[in-house]
Amino acid sequence: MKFADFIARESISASLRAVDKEGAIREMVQSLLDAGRIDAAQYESIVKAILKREELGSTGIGRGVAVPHTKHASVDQLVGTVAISADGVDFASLDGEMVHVFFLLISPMDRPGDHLRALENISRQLRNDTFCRFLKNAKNSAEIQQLLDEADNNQFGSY
Amino acid sequence: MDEKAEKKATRTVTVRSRQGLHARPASLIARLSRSFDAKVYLVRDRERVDATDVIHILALGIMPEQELRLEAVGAQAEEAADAIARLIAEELPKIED
Repeated sequence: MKFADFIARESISASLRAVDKEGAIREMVQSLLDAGRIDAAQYESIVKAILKREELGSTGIGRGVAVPHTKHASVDQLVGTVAISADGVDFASLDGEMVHVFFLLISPMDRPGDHLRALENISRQLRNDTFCRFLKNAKNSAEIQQLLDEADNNQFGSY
Repeated sequence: MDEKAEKKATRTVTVRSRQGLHARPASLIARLSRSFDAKVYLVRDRERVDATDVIHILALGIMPEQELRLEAVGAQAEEAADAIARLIAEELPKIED
């Protein structure tokens, strides 16, 4: 699965303003709402579901990256966004590092395989230090989009 | 030669989690792997990764019913291999989210 298959291009943000976990999640879900990828009536329910998942254990996966996510009945295909925080957010990651790069994912209830494939793709690309560093330092959403496109074209040699 | 560093243990386990090794199982494996005086690796086909690194575990993209090999090296190799094999085989299938 490629980034282009699930990242809503117009929701990407290189300047996440939130300074805490809930704020970061709200801001990213809002960006998917603004991009027309989720239903406004479902906003609060999606945010709460993602926060509930975080209570089970942080989705901070190391290297300054987190993958907050949930299943939600209101989406009929996997949808996600990317956000970068220059200052970082304390996400209670296993390695104790602040999170600068977020991949937020919302999956349909019945498609666990797609979710796993998206996590696999994100993680494979993150193993490449260059991709990781460029992503953290991206200055605008166009730069992030370009990095995702380059990753989709295997330009970071992660496969 | 340091005899302690030579201890090795391997196990083969089948992933029974209905949703594969997604973020939460990967975090639990990484957390447990960190708690032993041993280096722990997960091996699938020809890919061998550090079991303390969530990103590396997720990058394997382990689907339900896939077989994994555990390798542990160090003073607590046996204990680590046993504990992680038990986590994957018995505890993770109970976790759905």
